[in-house]
Amino acid sequence: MIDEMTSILEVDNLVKYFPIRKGILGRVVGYVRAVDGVSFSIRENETFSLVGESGSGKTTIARCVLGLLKPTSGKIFFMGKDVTRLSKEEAKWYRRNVQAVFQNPFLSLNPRMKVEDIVAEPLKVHYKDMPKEEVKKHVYELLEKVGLTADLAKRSPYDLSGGQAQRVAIARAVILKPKLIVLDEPTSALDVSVQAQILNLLVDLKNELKLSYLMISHDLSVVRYISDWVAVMYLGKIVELAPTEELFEKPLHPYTQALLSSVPEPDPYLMRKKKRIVLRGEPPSAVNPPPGCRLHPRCPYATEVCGKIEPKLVEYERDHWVACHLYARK
Amino acid sequence: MIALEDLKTTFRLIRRNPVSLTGLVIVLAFFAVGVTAPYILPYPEDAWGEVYHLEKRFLPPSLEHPFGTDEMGRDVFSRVLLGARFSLIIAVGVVGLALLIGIPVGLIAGYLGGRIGTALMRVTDMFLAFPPLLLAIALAATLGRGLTNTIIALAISWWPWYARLVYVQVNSIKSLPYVDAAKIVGLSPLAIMFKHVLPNALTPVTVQAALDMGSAILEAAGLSFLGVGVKPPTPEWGLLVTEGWTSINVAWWISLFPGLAILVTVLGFNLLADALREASDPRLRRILLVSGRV
Amino acid sequence: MAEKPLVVENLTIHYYTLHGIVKAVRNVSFEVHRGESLCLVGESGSGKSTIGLSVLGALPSNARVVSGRVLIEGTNILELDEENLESIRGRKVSIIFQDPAASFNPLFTIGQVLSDIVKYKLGIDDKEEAKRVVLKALSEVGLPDPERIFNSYPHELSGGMLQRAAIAVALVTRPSVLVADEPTTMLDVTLQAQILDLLQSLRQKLGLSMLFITHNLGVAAIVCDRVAVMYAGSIVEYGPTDKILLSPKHPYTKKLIECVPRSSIRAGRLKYIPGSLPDLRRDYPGCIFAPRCDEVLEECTRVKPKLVEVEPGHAVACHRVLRAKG
Repeated sequence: MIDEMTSILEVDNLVKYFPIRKGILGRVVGYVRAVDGVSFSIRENETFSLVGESGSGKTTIARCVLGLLKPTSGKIFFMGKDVTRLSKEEAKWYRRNVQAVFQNPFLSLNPRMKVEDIVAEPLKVHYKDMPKEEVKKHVYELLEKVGLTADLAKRSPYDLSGGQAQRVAIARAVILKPKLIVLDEPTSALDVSVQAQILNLLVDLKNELKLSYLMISHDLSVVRYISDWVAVMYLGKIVELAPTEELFEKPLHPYTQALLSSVPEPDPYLMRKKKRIVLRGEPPSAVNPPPGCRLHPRCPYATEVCGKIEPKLVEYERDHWVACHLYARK
Repeated sequence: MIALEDLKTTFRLIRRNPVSLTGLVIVLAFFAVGVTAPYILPYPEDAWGEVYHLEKRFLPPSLEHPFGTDEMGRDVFSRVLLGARFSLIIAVGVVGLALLIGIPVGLIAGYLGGRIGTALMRVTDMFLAFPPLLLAIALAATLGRGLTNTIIALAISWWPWYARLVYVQVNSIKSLPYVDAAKIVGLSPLAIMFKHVLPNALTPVTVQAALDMGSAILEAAGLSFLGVGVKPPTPEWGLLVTEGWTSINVAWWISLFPGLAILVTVLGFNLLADALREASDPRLRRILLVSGRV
Repeated sequence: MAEKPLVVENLTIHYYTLHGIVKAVRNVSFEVHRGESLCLVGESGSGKSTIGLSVLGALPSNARVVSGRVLIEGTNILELDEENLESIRGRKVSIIFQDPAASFNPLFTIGQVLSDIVKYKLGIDDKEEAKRVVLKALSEVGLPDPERIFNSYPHELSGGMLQRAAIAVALVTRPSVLVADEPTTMLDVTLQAQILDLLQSLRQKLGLSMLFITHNLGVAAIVCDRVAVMYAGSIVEYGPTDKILLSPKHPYTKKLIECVPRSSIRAGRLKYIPGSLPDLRRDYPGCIFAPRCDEVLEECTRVKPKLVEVEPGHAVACHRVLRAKG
């Protein structure tokens, strides 16, 4: 759907169901349809964001891309190679090139290791022959680049502030000079003043190291700041996909509109002016998603057809894809 | 595997609390006596039990024999001192052996999960279903008397508790993001297990091990008392209590002093374990430090 | 009845910790009028949640109130013994938290929890009557099918519904003051919007005074009449929401607002506040924000600035602002 020639990651009809087991024999009584047929691709040196609320399946996609979960079906291609079927050598190559930064920096750093050992670990795994001095040199250069002073290198993660700890996690993610970094809510555990610094750092690193990002977030403000492309997810499906400015300026899907209209902003005039689109109730469970369009029980514009036929994700305008019956006849 | 920083804080906490400090002192003294016992005995031959002094039977405590003498005229003080060595061997041996079996089982079952994990934990559960002391008695009786057999019998009845403890810890740690991060970095499962999961799972195990050293001494004494433990004339404390039991009416000191030795040592380990547990619980730690200050 | 159900005067609170005495709240004063909502805005470590707990008389065991008073309807809650505290807590002042699941015992149904409160706090012994009150409270917070919710256990409800139930628990006794400590932080934006709407309508309907604690300036813009900005245990600026958010005076407030990325416009590059939170164990002779401020004057590091009104109802604690005013 995005030009395939320059795409670095391509996710093709990804499906991930989690079985629900009951009883001592572990009989499967149903499935949580966490991700239900999702396709997108990420171009080189671009940031692609998956936005959605909890239960939308965005984190599951990230975990599939990172190889922490096996997809139920569908394919993930990284630089043309199917990552669900890699040889041992290729798996190492993939690990070198795809890294991650998680939400809670304190939980993503081993509390029993020192900062410099945490950052050096990827080098020690992938470049076993590298002399110790060189490893150290790389680590200290990188710590400086992510904005940490050398005296922090000998500390434990729990002696750091949240922002410092997240910088360590970022340093660990970029030390192998990967092509793609999965950012799973990288700033949502941080204070706003720190969040701004981390976002700036991520943008700088992206430009300098020619990185691509797969960003997972529920925070639309952060997404607008950092993304080139945005896909909005609801109950395991992409409902809208567009370049960032296009999506924020001209949201088509009622769910996207509702999300955007609910974001609180520190501007009282704007908040009063904003036309609020309120969704009824709460998202249903992904075990028994509603038939037809998954949003229809909550959608203010739902018609009869919405409860019967599932809308396809179609290109409504150039590069602007939407899955909604409102835009079907064009 | 407690980090140095933790050790320092733990020590600070122990120093502040006289009860914990008593525990630490007792345990350190026990280790010291256990290690040096053979070289500081007033009557080495009496201690090893190879002699018979007809003329010195049942002497009450005196300057010459602080704990008196037994029915074979041996110096009880020397025997109790040397007993510390055997109790130390038993404590370290039992807990060490149990850890050696329990930690790998819990680690593998917890980290791998799946069928292997389930199978390992079912075996563990089978052992847990027996009352541990009964199991130890049965094993000791089957294996025959002796120091090594006592250690084996107790370790076999104990490792499942460690396996369970490690399993629970590993299970919660393996889903933490830093373990995910290690996978993404490309570490092998083995490296992740030993570098990231195990060190973080061991804190509660350390506490339990300290507590169990006391219990090991107690239970080994129990086995000796029941006649399925260490072989006489080894001066193991439990055995010493038994030996004095028949003549308790004429010479109370023969049973009393080894009994006291058991009591004090076990108490020491319990106090120390309590202190360790308090120090490893961040919330308790905060409250303790506060109440110590205000 | 007093026109200011909640008055906080010169409140100073210290925490005794492993690493020393943390001076978490430093001489804070504010008041909340009847039916008004005041927002305490700040980042972590600003002391806002500590103030929230002190208003309930529910500070953790290692906290010490060094000075100050917290008046609920004229009664100083910090001086009460446990018994008298219970007659105010939950009756005149209630609290809702970030995680509603943590405030419900998983072994009791929502109905049992509420019935107990109605029985002990309101003294309604009649079972029928109690249930009627509870069901009314549940429907008041917009829970569909109150009868079903009455018999539900906490784990059977979603996060949004549980937060509604927590609001029902807080308000069934009709308190005059509600402390809301980050009540929507764990919720998704669409649910957050619903809960904020609900709090707004309940406040108007019940004439509730609300102390709203949040780190999110956007949320403050929606729910609050007035905002007090906190930094490192002190209030640095307070005033009407529009004034604070649209024409902030204090350098910290200005910076804080500039850091927030917007969904309505694409920012070029985000501004941020250099440096980090000061060591809260120390005392600072001057302005506590001075080390991170890029508009420092000579006296900023020497003299503590006082909160002074620059316009009616809008006060700032900053030497530069005061000097400009003359």
